[in-house]
Amino acid sequence: MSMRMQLMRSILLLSIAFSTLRVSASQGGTTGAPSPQVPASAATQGRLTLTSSAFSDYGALPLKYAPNSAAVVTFDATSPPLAWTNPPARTVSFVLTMTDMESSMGDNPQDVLLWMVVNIPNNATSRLLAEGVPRGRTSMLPEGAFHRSFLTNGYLGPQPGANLHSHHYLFELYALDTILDLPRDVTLDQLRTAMKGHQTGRAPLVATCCVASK
Amino acid sequence: MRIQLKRFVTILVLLLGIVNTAVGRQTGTTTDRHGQIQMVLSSPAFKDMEPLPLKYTQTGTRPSVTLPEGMIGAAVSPPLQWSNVPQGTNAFVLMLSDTSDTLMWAVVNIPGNIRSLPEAIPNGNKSEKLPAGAFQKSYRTNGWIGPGAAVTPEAAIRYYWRLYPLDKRLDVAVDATRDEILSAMEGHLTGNKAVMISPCCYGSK
Repeated sequence: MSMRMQLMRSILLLSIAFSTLRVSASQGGTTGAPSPQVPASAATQGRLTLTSSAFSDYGALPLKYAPNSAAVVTFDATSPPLAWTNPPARTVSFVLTMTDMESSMGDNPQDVLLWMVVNIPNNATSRLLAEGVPRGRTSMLPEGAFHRSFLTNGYLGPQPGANLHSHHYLFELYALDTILDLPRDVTLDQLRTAMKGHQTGRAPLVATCCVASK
Repeated sequence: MRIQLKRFVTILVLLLGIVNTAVGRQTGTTTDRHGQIQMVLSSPAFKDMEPLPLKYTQTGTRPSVTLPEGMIGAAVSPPLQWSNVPQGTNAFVLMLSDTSDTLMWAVVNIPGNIRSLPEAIPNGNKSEKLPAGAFQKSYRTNGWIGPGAAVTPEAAIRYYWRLYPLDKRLDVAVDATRDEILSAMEGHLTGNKAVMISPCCYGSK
């Protein structure tokens, strides 16, 4: 019985995963070659700002951070490097989320969670995430932090559906006045509920993937 | 044994997905699980990820601080259009939210045969410019209110457009909140959302 339930559970999770693999034809896209008109450097003074050394805001996510067909099978993908500046006053910790704005999970309207890093302490040496945080481990994360996606205990990255029509990937950094008390299998909904009333700042960073990605 | 079985199922399902993708690439007509291609939202007035023109903003038409509750400023709603609608779509919800999840505009229960919204839909739900049966609101008006962010780089924020294809009209009140509209849509999407992002108002003209 337990085995059957486990099996059903994995099939359910996988069908959910594949509902995000929305394969589509590459016609009439609006995301082919974005030409950001807002210089990132001009907007960074004074407020919480999230950046990546690997791609620009509104730019294309490099293919390195999108799992290829082999990596999709094993859920292995390389997370991009991220860094942030200007934490607001009273900030105790940070949460990083990455969502696929186009995809929907199980016919539901919520954006799909491809990565979250929870409980990153606010200190001068930890205002960054290095490239390639390994799935299932926290050794590359600051003490007390953990990460997961909606499906795995790590970075999931863009799924193959975005190869034929780019999606918008939204990275958001939340600055919080507390450390969150959450289980390691927390969902995006639960995370958002827990963060209510604790935000001292919120900074977005947008990338598209994967038609214009290299 | 259990782990082996799970692993087998995992690999099988994933392989099926990849084969499906490969076939679609060859034919150029790959469909999602609903048999449709990715829906696309656009505007003849501005491009995705480029600044929203000032005529659609409070910033460019009237300072937001003087806008009384329930009133609309001189800002007009932008023209929008969409295509590649998933099969089985009977209604749409369009939402514009800012970086803090403030509901800047919702147009709820757009009929499934509609593919565009004209520019400058007046406040309220009686205009012929609004598709029959639809209603609109913002977080503080019964229509388009428009971004009010300043034109300085440090004050610029971004606004997220999401068009949701639905299998039925929603049974929600005309003063429903963003959360209530989102909850009402649960289980009713017919495919992926169509998305645009509009930075405002630094760089807006």
